[in-house]
Amino acid sequence: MRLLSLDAAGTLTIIEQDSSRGRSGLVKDSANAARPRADSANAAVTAQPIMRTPENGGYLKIAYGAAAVIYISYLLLLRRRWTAVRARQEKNTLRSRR
Amino acid sequence: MTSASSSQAADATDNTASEIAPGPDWFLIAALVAVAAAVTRVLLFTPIELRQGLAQKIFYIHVPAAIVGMYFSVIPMAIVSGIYLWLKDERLDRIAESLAEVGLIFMSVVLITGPFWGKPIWGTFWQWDARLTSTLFLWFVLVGYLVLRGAIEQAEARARLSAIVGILGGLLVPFIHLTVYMFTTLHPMPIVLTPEGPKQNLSPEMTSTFLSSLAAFMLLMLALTRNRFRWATLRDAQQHIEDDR
Repeated sequence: MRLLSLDAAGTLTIIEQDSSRGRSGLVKDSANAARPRADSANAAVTAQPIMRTPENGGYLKIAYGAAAVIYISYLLLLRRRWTAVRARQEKNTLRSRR
Repeated sequence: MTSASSSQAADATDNTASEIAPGPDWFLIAALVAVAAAVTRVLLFTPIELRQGLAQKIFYIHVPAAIVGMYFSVIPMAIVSGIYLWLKDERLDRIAESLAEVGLIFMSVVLITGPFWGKPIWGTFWQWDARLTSTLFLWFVLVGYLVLRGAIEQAEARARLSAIVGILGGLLVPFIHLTVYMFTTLHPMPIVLTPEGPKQNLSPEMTSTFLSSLAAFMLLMLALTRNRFRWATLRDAQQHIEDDR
C-alpha cells in the first residue's frame, strides 16, 4: 500500500507500507524517510522521499536527451528540405536553358 | 507564358535562390553555439537546487522552451495570421506557417521535458490537470494547423483557412497562462513571468543562467523561423514558375 505524507515544511513523502502490518509504522520524519526503519517494530515499512533522490540526475539526462533529439531531428528535416528544393531549382534552371 | 519569359522567370528564381541560400546559415550556427554554451552553463556552472536536486535543471530547458514556444511563436503566429486576413500578403502567410512549425517544435520540447521533471518531483509523469491538458490541446491545434496546410492545394484558400486556425490557436495561450490561477493544478504558478520577475523566486546565479538560456532559445527560434521562411519563399517561387509553364 502507498501513502502520501506532507510535512509542515512542505516535503512530500511516499510511504510504502506492508498493509498486513497495519498503520503503526508510518514514517513522519522525512530526514529518516530514506532508509528502512529497521529499528521500528514494523521493519517492513520503507519510505522514499520524492525529493533529494540521487537518481533525479537520470531524469535530467533523459529530458535533455529527448530535447536534443527533437531539435536535431528538426535541423535534419530542414536540411533535407533545402536539398530537395535546390535539386528542384537546378532542374528548373536546366529545363529553362534547353 | 512564352519560352523567353519563362526563361527570365527561371533566371529570376535562380537569382532569388542564390540570394536566399548563399551558403551556410551563420545565424543558425550562432544560435546553436549559444544554445550549447547555455546548456554547458546549466550543467556545469549553476548550483544544484537543494530540494529537487539535479532534476530541477530541467527548468532551464523546459521554461525557456515554453516561453519561446507560446509567447514568441504561437502569439506572433496568431497576430501575423490576423494581419494576413486583412492585407492578404502571401509573405505574412509564410511567416505564420514558419512560426507555427517552429512553435510546434518548442511545444514538443515542453511536453517531453515536463513529464521527466514531474516524475521525480510530483511522483507522476502526467496528470490531466488544466495546465497540462490545455498545453497538450495547443500542441494538437498546431499539428492540426500544419495538417490543414498540407491538405489544401489552392494557395489562397489554404492561407485564409490556416490563418483562422492560427488565430484560434493563439487564443489558447492566455488561457493556458491563466489555468494555474483559475484551477487547482499540480503545475506550479509562474515563477518567472510574474510582475516581480525571476529574481523574486530564484537565486542570482539561477536567474542569470535562466536568462542566458532564454536568450539562447530565443536566438534559436529566430534562426529556425528565418531558415524556414527562406525555404518557404524559395519553394513558393519555384511553384509559381512551374504553375506558369
